[in-house]
Amino acid sequence: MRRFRFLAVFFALLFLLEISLLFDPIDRQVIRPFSSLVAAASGGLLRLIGQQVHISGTVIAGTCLAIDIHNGCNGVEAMMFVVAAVIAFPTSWPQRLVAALAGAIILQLANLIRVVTLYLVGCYHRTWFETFHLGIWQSLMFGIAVAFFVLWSRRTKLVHAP
Amino acid sequence: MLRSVFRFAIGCAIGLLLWWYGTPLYGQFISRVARACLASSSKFAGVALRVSDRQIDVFGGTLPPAQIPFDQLTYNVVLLLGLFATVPGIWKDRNVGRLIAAIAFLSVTHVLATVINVMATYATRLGVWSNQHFNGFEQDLWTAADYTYRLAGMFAIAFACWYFAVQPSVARKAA
Repeated sequence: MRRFRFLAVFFALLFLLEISLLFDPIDRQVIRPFSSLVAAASGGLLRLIGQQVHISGTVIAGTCLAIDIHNGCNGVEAMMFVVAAVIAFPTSWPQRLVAALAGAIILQLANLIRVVTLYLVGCYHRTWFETFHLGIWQSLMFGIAVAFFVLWSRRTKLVHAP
Repeated sequence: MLRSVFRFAIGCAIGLLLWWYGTPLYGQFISRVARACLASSSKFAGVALRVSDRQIDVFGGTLPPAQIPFDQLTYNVVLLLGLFATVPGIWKDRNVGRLIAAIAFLSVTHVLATVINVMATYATRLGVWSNQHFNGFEQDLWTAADYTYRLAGMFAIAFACWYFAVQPSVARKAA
């Protein structure tokens, strides 16, 4: 029964969080500036490893490839997944908040590696790009999100409803 | 922990191979069931779906032709197999049964995802035709359904299949 309840709350929260992204003010005021930050950080990392890239808003453009960071590539989807899972888990609010923050940081670090490797794969092995873009990195991002949630929930004290 | 990471990677690799090489054949099966679902709507009477490599071509009747990126609706199988691979004793009878049940459930969601993607495509991406056949509410509804599935919903379904199929204690051990 507890599993049903957890999954029901998890799906309801995830649905609400995802739907919120469809609202233009949220997209304009939150998501696009955040995606620009992701592009700037990823572009900085690419420059550090010797790639000549130019960053303009959410676009990272180089001599061989240009990629546009938007929902699905900015890590927000995996962050929402972790946030929905930790909130649905029956524990105290401070523990949930710390977990949501820690999960978001871990996923954004993983996302930086995702964007950098996707750029490099797109530049040097273009035929592999779609496989990495969809099959490998999306699965890895959500694999990390699930692993984080399972590890955290294993160490977290349950709070039972009265 | 390291063993689980290794098992996850092996499961993902198997899932990736299945997804990559199995998509055209799997698409034949899913498109047949999806066609039957779509044909029940008067807007899609006489619809035909044909798998073309990793896409599905939609045509027939008075419908303008459209293409559905079928492979983008099914790659949550990679995560599902990765997660199941972390379960200790995955090849034991009971766990194999759970894995088969999870894959069967995932296939049902793939049929629904295909139907939703076809609806969203016809509701919003065909210009005048879309506006003539779908009202504003229907357009928003199908867009929201397609968006929520493709952004994180498909992975949440894979996670839920795994979380529900294995005992939480097993899921915890796997991590």
